Amino acid sequence: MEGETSWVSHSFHDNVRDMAEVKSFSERSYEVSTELTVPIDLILPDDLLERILAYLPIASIFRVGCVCKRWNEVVSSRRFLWNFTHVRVHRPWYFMFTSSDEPVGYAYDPILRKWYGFELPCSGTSSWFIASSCGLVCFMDNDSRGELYACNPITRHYRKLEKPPGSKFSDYSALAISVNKVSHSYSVSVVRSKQVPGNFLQYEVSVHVYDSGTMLWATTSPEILTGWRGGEESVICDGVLYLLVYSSGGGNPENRHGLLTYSLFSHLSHGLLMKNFIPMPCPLTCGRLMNVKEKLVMVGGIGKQDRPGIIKGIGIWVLSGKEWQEIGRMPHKFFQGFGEFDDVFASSGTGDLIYIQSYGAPALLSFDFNQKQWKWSQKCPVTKRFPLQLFTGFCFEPRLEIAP
Amino acid sequence: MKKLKFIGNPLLQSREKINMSSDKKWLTLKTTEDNEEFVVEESVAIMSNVIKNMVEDGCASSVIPVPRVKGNAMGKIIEFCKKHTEESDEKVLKEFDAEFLNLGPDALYDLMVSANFLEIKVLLDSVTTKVADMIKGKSSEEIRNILKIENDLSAEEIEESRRENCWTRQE
Repeated sequence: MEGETSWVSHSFHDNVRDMAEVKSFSERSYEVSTELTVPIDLILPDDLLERILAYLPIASIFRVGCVCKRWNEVVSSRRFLWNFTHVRVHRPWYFMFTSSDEPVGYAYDPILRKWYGFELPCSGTSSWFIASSCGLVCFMDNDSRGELYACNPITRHYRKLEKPPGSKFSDYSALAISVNKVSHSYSVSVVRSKQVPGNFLQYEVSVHVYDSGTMLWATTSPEILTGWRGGEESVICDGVLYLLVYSSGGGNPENRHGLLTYSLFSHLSHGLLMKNFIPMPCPLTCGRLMNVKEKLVMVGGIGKQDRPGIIKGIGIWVLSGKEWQEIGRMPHKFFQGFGEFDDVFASSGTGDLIYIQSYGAPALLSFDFNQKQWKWSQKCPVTKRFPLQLFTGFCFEPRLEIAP
Repeated sequence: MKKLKFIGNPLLQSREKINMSSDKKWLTLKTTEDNEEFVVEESVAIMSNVIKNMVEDGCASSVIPVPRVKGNAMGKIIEFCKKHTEESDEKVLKEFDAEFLNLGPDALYDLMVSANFLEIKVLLDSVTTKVADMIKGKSSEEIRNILKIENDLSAEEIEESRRENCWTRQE
C-alpha cells in the first residue's frame, strides 16, 4: 500500500524543498489564451495530477492511462484507485445483453449518458443467474453444471468459485452476493427450492452460503415450506438474505408473492424461514429485489385486484422493519412509453439508481432514489431484430479497486 | 472592487496611515519572487491553511513572506478568497467561480499549483474540477495535444492497455 493516502498535507517548508522549479510565466498568461505555453508535466506534481484525474468519470480513466507512461502509472497506483472510488460517487451502470448466448452487450453510464459496447470478462449469458454488489458481479450457470464466477466487469478480473452444492436436484435457485466494503471479502448465497416428491404444495428449501475468505460453502438444514416456494429472486442487505417466495398453490390467488428473511451471520438453527414471513403490500404480478444503500427495495408489477395476472402499474417499495413503504410509482406516461408491457420485467438497482427494463424492448428507464425522478436513458444502440427477441440486463457499480 | 494591492510605494509604508476600521485585523502578504505586497483582512487570508497555521502559531509578523507564488497569481487568489468569505449564497458563488476560472490553461495551472501550496481547499477543488472538465471525454491523442504531453508509451503498451479494458467500442 502506498504510504500517503491523503491528498494535500505538505507543510509550508516541505513544499519549498520538494517542488520542482516553477517556470516563470509572462504577465500575459492571465489573458484567456487557448494554447498552453509550458508542458503540463513539468509543473504538475503527482498529487495534483491524481487529484485532477480523480474527478474524471470512470470511462475516461482508460483513455487517460494511454496518454503517457507517467499518467499510466498514476492511474494504476493503488492509492489512486482507492481514492478514486471513495472520494467520488459513481452511479451504477446498467449492462444490457444483446445476445442470448454470448456475454456481450452494451453498458450504460448514467453520468455521461452514453452506451459503450461491452464484453463481460467471463462466461455469463442472459440465461444465467446474475447478482451484483459493490462492483463485483456473480454469474451462475443455470443448468446442472452449476459453474459460478465472480468478476469485476470494469477491471476484467474474474475468478471461478467452488461449485455451489445442490445444482443437480433443485427446481429453482436464487443467487445473491454481498461484498464487505472494508475488507473486500464477499459472501455468495444460493437458495435452492425443490418440490417434495408426491406433494405439489410442499417445497424443500435450503440456503448455501460461500465465504470468499475460507472459500467454503456452508449449508443450512433444509426446511419444508407448505404453500410457498423459493424462486430466482433474492438479495442480501446488511447481512440479511431476503428471498421472494411464490405461492405453490392452494392459497388466495391474490397473494401470489411473499418475502422470507434469513440472517446470514447469526448462526441460528433451521426453522427460520417461515417464521419471518412478510406479506406483499398489494397483489403483484412480479417482484424484483435489490439492495439500495443496505435497505431492501422491491420493484413490483401491481396487479389488478380481481385479475392479478394483469399488470396495471409499477411501484417501488422499501422495507422498513416488517412494513413496506411505497416510495415511488411509475407515472402513466412512462408505463405507456414501454409499449407492450408484460406482467414480468427486468429491474435492478443499487446506490441511488433503480433501472427498469421491459423484456420486449431495449428501452431503459431509471428512477433516481434521492430526487424521486424518473428518466429515460439515452436510446440504446441495439435494435430489436426479430419479434420474439428478449432483452434483459443487470446493474452494477463501476469500481476500480475491488477484485474477486 | 477595492484594490488592496500596494506596490512598494514609499508614501504608504505604514498601515497606520490608511484609514482602516479598527475592529478588523489586517495582514500583509508579500510575494518574495517579485516583491509585491498585498494587504488583506485576516479572515480572508486564513482561507489558506498555511497562513492560518502561521497566524495561530503566532509566527505571523507584520509582513508574511510568501515564496513560490507570483504577484498576479496572489492577486487572483485574494480576489477568490475575498468573494468566498463575503458571500454565502451557493448559487452566487458558483456563478462567480465559473467566471473567475475562465482563464487559459497556463493561468489555471499556475493558480492550481499556488492553491495547493497555500492549502486553499475550496480554490483547489474548483480549479481541479475545471481542469478535469477540459480532459473529460477527450481521447488520449486530444489530451496530449491540449496539454503538450509527449507520448512515451510503446505501441505494445498501448495495445495491452486497450486489451485490458472492457470497451469494445468507444462511443
